[in-house]
Amino acid sequence: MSIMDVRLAVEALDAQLGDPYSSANACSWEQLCRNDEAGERPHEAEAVLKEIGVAKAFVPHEFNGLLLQLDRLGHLLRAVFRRDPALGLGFGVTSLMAAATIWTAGTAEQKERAAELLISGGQIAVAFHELAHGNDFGANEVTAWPSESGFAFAGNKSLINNADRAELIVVHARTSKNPVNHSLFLLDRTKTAFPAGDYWRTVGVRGCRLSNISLEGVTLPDSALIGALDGGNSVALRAFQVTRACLPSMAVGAVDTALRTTAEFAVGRRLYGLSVAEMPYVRQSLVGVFADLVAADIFSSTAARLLHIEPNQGSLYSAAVKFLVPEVLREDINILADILGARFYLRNGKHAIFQKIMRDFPALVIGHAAQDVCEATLRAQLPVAVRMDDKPNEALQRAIFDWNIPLGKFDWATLQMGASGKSALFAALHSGIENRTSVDKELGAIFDELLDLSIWLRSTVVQMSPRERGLNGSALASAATKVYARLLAASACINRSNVCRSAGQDSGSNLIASDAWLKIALCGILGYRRFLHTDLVEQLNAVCYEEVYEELLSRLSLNSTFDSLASNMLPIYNVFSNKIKI
Amino acid sequence: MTELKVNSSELQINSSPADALEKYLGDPRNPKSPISVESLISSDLEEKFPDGSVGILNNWGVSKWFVPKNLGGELVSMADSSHLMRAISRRDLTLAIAYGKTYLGSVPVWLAGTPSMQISLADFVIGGGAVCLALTERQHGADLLNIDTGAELIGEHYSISGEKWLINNASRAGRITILAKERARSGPRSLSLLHFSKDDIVGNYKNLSKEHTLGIRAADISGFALTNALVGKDALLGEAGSGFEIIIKSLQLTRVSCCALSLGAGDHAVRIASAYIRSRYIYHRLAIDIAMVRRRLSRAALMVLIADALSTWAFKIADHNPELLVTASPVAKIMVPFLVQRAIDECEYVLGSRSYIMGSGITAPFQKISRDHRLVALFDGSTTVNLQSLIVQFRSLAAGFDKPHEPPEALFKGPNINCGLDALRLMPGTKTQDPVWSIYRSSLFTQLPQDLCKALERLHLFTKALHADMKNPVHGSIPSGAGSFSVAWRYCLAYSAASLVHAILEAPESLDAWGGSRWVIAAIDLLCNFHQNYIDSLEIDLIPELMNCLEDKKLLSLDRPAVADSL
Ligand SMILES: Cc1cc2nc3c(=O)[nH]c(=O)nc-3n(C[C@H](O)[C@H](O)[C@H](O)COP(=O)(O)OP(=O)(O)OC[C@H]3O[C@@H](n4cnc5c(N)ncnc54)[C@H](O)[C@@H]3O)c2cc1C
Ligand SMILES: Cc1cc2nc3c(=O)[nH]c(=O)nc-3n(C[C@H](O)[C@H](O)[C@H](O)COP(=O)(O)OP(=O)(O)OC[C@H]3O[C@@H](n4cnc5c(N)ncnc54)[C@H](O)[C@@H]3O)c2cc1C
Repeated sequence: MSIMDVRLAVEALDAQLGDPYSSANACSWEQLCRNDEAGERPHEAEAVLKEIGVAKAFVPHEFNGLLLQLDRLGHLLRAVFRRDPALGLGFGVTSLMAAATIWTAGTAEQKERAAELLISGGQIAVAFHELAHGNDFGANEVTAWPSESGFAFAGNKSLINNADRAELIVVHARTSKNPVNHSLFLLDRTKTAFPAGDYWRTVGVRGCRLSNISLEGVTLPDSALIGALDGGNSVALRAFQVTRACLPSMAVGAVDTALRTTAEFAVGRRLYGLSVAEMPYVRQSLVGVFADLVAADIFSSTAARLLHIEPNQGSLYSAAVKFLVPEVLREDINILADILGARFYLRNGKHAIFQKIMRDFPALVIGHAAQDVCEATLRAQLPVAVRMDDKPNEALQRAIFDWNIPLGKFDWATLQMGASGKSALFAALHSGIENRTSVDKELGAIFDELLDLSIWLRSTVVQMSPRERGLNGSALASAATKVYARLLAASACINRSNVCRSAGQDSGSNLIASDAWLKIALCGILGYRRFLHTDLVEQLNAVCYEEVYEELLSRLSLNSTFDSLASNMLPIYNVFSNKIKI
Repeated sequence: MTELKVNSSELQINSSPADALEKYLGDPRNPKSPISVESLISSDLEEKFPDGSVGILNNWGVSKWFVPKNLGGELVSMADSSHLMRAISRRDLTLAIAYGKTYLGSVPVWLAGTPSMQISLADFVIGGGAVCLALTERQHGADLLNIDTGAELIGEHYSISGEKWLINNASRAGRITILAKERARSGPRSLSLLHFSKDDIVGNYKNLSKEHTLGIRAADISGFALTNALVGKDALLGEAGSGFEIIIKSLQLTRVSCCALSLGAGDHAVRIASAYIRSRYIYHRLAIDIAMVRRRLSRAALMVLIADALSTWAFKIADHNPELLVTASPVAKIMVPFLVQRAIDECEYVLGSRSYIMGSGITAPFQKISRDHRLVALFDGSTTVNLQSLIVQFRSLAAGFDKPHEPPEALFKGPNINCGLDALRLMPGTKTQDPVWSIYRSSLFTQLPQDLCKALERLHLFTKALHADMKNPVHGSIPSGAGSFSVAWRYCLAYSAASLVHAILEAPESLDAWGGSRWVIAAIDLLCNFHQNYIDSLEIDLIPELMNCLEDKKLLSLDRPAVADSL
């Protein structure tokens, strides 16, 4: 699948989701806000997704699904997240988490059963969380022990999305005491009926249904076991590498809509005799968010590609993405709120989707591994993380950064718990910088800063004791981890930009190929957007920002997405109707 | 347990009004307290205005602190009044924002109203009446000079037409302070401020319906439309055409008072997160024993402490040197909500899903604090508008900075001039050095502990580089670009750090209460490196002091007054 094919697929999906601006449409922002206000599941929108068969994207090709390449998963599902993050989460993302464990370690029968359910539009719940243990699922207390008919269960799970309706539930339960080991089980509701508890009320994703489940008295046959007995934590830690890389990629869609809403407002709003978008600060803030969004896409997509190419480093890449991308995007939403002014605070009117995204987004930050948990994963493995070959393998690099090179189907069996070997993405920071042609003074300065950080990181890591990198590690180890994640993101952006330059493919790639975007994106990676180094920002002001702003405006008026695909959101509707007058 | 009964021995002579209000309101975790977190959460859910709670504040007489002493009120110091508001906002922001709006609507009258109008408003406010301040219009937002609402003097009356939208208390208020354009005039001198009672309107007044909002859901956020509505011509504040000037001055004061909203929210959020990590068992230990969690919460506490120091500085400026509000006010309005929002965000990470769940338990109010607090940065002059107001002063500020670092004789020495309510001393920028930088006087360096001195030198370098940047002529063009705005942010960071140094010079005991000079050093370094604070490798642990503070039932602040709170 080339990028062009992915774009067509996304556009086809968008065409079926219908006009997001049309209030009559179930998948429009207005309707989805109405569902949110009512605190109800968006049944009609879900019916549309079911009709389209979106969940096929979660199912490997060999089980009649569409899933081949992991980076595509993010690109495709982003279309749903652009409509509504809660719809994405409620309809499918927790199903994907559950399914990932099955694709990683399930039996052929389990895979078939899961595939069939998803393709028919059903859900699989993922029941890990226990209120008492949160991220620390190694301490989970729901217990399963051998009984006459298989396994008997005791205990409760909390905050489980879709627990009220999922036909299958992946249950995480303790199966041995010493050492504490857990196993995963596939519970089939059609065979083992049991009720879900009351719904939890949450501040965001109000269209999702989270409830508790009591496993007290439940028994399951031996065939329900996913993977080896006592091997559940390992399965989860491997399988979730996929979802931890893909979820932030999907989340880019939510910020796409936040940016669109804000940019439309800024273009149309007149103050002091000019449009708000003409105020340089506002314009540059919009551009900064746009640049971050593209960078977030590139980083998460690169990590997803690397799961195919370098699975032995997968635990690092996925943790780095989940660590960095949600935080950056969340800060971007705050920056946009500053521009939108009062309208970010209103639950009615045409900007209402913004406050909904603002409420929904933290679910993507909190859920599925907290930032600190990702940090802990990275920190512990820093020495491996910064290990690199002196001479990077060029074919390997092409496969990572040239998104037109197909990767074939993803092999779930290659996922590994911990990282080993060498890091191609980290090494590529240096080669990417070396390979960049005609580097001007500003870009050179940015590159120097990145290289300095890289040198600092490697020398710092060498001197660090294992204790310093542990759960109670030092602030220095924390800083090193943060620098590492940012350098990976920079490497992804630089190398992707280099590829787009040499290939000069199309509109999305033209932006990424440009020095202007690269500089702004790297400045964002190097610092917090609002407090950027003046030396850098000052010089970038005039030229770069204008260039990227032109692209932003053109995408806005053509209803193209802001991510690296620049796909059309209203493909069969009047593309050229120029909804926004400029 | 509720502490409704006030022990007379605790009512010492120097107990502040805020202490007394704290005692009166009691433990907000107790559902039976007059103002309980539980009841305010449910009024939020139902979007029902908390009339009962407002009645309790009125009974106690909080609104007296909105009215200057010479008019029969208790307003003599911005700090006192703000601490009262903080006692309310640490219980509930919606309530504080709804209640405090009356002060915002009254200040223009204290600054520019006729004596008879002031007397009548004073009675009204002390009696518990609500006032709204109607500046904003749907189409014009912050661009006040281009509002459409018009006022025309016809004989003995002003005839007013136009719509004001997104007005806090618009429906409940008995009195309105409104900005309108005098049709016969143009330019900045075309705006007039009017103040009148709704009862006195002859003609068409129509309330707009309630807007549903992200936070402060229970508040009365609406607006109204006037069509040829007649009010007596004595409704005019100051001279005709002086409305813009009055409102700019008024905003200098009210923006400072907004600090109290954030400080209360910061205390509440950190209090919840602290209580949570003391009982959260995870990874075979209490969360309080995980270094990363400690760092997050320490950072949160540090942010609130910096916000407190900056607020204290701004309150004093308002009370004694209002001519300096021209910088102190925007910096405080930018930084205090900003720092507290960062603190809230850190707490959100620590709380995980508990920050997201509505319902009951100690963490239940958190999601509401987070939603409510986002408004503080927006209203009464948004962060952007305030940054812009600093940028236009860059050149004169930079020129002033070149002068010797000495505190002006009159700093905080002069009489308390009624919370800045001296219109003459408000506004114009000066070319003298802002006394916030007097911390760089050489005599001071010899007095401080060495490690603190080193940090102060770093801050001095940061401030000097900043002022050099402020001289760059690129900042002259308006509206300004991102470069100018990031210099303005740096100005705010440096100013905040400097205000913190002032605070500990003034009250050295606050150093020890928070574990010695290391936390001030941490704060200075945090502020100077904000643009890249992801590489901050500062080991900062304020947890023991934080826990002491909360266990002793003290407010999260430099001076740690007592609070009634079982959390
Ligand atoms: C909308 C929503 C939907 C959800 N759906 C599901 C679902 O379908 N299935 C399911 O199983 N769960 C679900 N959850 C639960 C989710 O998985 C948990 O929120 C998550 O496991 C985090 O647990 P916690 O919130 O208790 O945070 P905690 O584990 O208590 O973590 C809170 C904080 O403690 C600190 N901390 C924790 N671990 C570490 C560490 N290793 N190192 C350093 N610091 C650490 C961090 O500061 C962290 O942010 C959902 C949650 C939400 C909000
Ligand atoms: C809950 C709530 C309660 C409110 N209560 C009141 C009230 O009681 N009384 C009242 O009068 N108003 C009230 N407001 C209105 C509030 O003060 C306005 O939101 C504010 O004036 C900004 O206007 P706006 O949101 O329309 O943004 P706009 O003014 O339209 O600004 C849009 C964007 O343009 C940019 N911008 C604007 N001005 C500048 C500048 N000078 N320099 C650079 N960039 C700039 C900013 O990025 C800004 O966000 C309330 C609003 C809310 C949400």
